[in-house]
Amino acid sequence: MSKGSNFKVMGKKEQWVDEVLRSFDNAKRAIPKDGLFNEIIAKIPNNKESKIIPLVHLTWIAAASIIIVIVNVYALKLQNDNIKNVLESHNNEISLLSDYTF
Amino acid sequence: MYKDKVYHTAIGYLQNIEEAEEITQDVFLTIYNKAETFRGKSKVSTWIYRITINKALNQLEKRKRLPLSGSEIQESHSVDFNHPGIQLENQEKAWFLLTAIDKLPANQKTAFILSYIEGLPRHEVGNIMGVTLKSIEGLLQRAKSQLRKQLISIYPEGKSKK
Repeated sequence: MSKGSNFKVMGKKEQWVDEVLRSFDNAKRAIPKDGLFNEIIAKIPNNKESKIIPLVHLTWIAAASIIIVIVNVYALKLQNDNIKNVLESHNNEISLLSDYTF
Repeated sequence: MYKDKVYHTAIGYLQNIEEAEEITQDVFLTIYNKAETFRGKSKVSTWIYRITINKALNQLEKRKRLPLSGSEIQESHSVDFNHPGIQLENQEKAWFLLTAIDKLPANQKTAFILSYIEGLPRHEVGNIMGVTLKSIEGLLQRAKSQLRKQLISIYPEGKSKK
């Protein structure tokens, strides 16, 4: 094959490749069959299944909640006692001072 | 409507009408089931495209795992496929293009399908793929050069596909 005909063939191939690469220009969108959306709707369950939490998990959650409540109550009680002590000591100091009368 | 976008994208990857329909159904069931996990950080369409692409690529992987020879896979999925959106005079050329697209690596394939078949703007393709605009341009350049090489190697020399 001569050089000239080689170029001709290559040119033809390149042109063909360009046409192939442009073959989707102005293409329409592929549209699914009419019934597809109905099929999808039919597959979607009417009500989403609610999640079932096992009883053991619930027991652990309840136990953890009770512990948290107890700890909080204890902490409040301690804080109250502390405040009471501080007030009492303050009162004592005042009463001690009030004894010093001329 | 999203149904058409999903179907059109799926058909670009799978080149098979039944499989594209299955994937479309699967995508919408996933959207329904996972709707609460969508955090609104991206557009809804971006999220839907991502689901579609993942499902289509998974389906292509499944095909590879089927105990069929390469020629059987070729026969069952692309020889008789004519893209429904292409005009009759371009059907043959589009078939050659889809056959070449099928051989591209996954990320080049996604960039090319979303840009040239789905016709999305580059920045949206970047958002969907989670890469920069520059990366998309690089991917598209590599995809085009790969496609050119493949198309030259399968040039029909005056014969048609069938």
